[in-house]
Amino acid sequence: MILFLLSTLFGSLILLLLPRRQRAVRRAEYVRRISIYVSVGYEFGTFTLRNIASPTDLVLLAEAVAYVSERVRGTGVKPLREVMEHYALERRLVDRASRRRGVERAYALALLARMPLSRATSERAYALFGEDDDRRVRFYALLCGVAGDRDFVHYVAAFRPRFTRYEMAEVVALLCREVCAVAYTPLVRSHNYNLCMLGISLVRRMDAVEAERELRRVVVEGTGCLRLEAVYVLASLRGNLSGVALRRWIYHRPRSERRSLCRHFVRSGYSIHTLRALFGAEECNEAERMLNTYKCRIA
Amino acid sequence: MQKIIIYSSSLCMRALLEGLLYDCGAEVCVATSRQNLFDRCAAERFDKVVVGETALFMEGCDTVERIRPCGAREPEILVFAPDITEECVMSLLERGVNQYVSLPVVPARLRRKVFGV
Repeated sequence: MILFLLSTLFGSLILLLLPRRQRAVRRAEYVRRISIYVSVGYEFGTFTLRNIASPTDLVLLAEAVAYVSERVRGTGVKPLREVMEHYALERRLVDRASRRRGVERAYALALLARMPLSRATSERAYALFGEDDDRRVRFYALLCGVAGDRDFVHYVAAFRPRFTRYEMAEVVALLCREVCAVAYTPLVRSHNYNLCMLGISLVRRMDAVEAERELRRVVVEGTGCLRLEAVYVLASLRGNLSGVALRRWIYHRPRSERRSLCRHFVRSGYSIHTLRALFGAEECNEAERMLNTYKCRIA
Repeated sequence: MQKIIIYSSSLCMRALLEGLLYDCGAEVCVATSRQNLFDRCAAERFDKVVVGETALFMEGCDTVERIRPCGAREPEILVFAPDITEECVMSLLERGVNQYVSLPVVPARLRRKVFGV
């Protein structure tokens, strides 16, 4: 009896895993063919695969295009657009998103957002799904809007509720994908939470030391998470941490947060004198212990 | 003719590198696992080793010594990976990696880096 149950379980596992493995191999083959086309095949005619008929094939092809699109830029984008137009991927994915609900709809939009979209498709996706009840769908509809439209500010400003850290990271990754110039100063100065947080995240991503003055303004005048994030980023840039306002703010933080800030300041390379001006004896003792270990490099 | 071997633990990354380095007048091989990479480097002479991840050099194993037996300076090791910190890049270079290329990459630039064409 036990042997029978074990063999049934084992068989079910094989049936579950085998198609997944086959899908992974097929997806990798699509990636290989697409990257050959992107690299050299563009000059030699249109891209062809065997007929993409089933929904599974469509999703695998979309995943392969999205995978290559995230890792290739510049002259590699035009061949990808050719592949997308040849298989009508944009229209078919938007149709798929329309027919599905919940996480499957969000996944179709996520795939779209990772591709080099046309402006028309990005606007259509945002118009159809930007007000969906599901937060994940709304977020990926926003990413579609940002992916196809360089004027992304109104999309980000309109998103409700506030971005989580993971959502913000995805938006920043998308904006930096094409290495285009994004003006972070107006974003950091904005009174909209999402835009200000996006600006601070971009400053961190680009190591923009020129933004120190704007960050200090947020440190002095900002509130809540914005202020905390600005302090962390300012420290990462080894900016000026002097000032009564900052010292008073740190004093009123919870203990765990003070210790975390102190560790971050130590790792960023601030001296013990700077830390003594900001923290109490407990944090300073821990900072000295850290400075005396191999965990910190002293310039 | 140059001989190049590609490795990544990800099936898709292997396929991507293989496709981007296609038809460049060099013999391109693909290692399917870490041990396969080390065995082939020990058995055959490669001009370049292209690795699609940084984890191979960061987990404490003597990767570079196993790729370059007997302390040789060849094959040249190139690492392709998404943007990482400056400290990580310095660590890779200190371990013996010759070049680090961040993704996303322009295909023509990648081919110039690997093949010099």
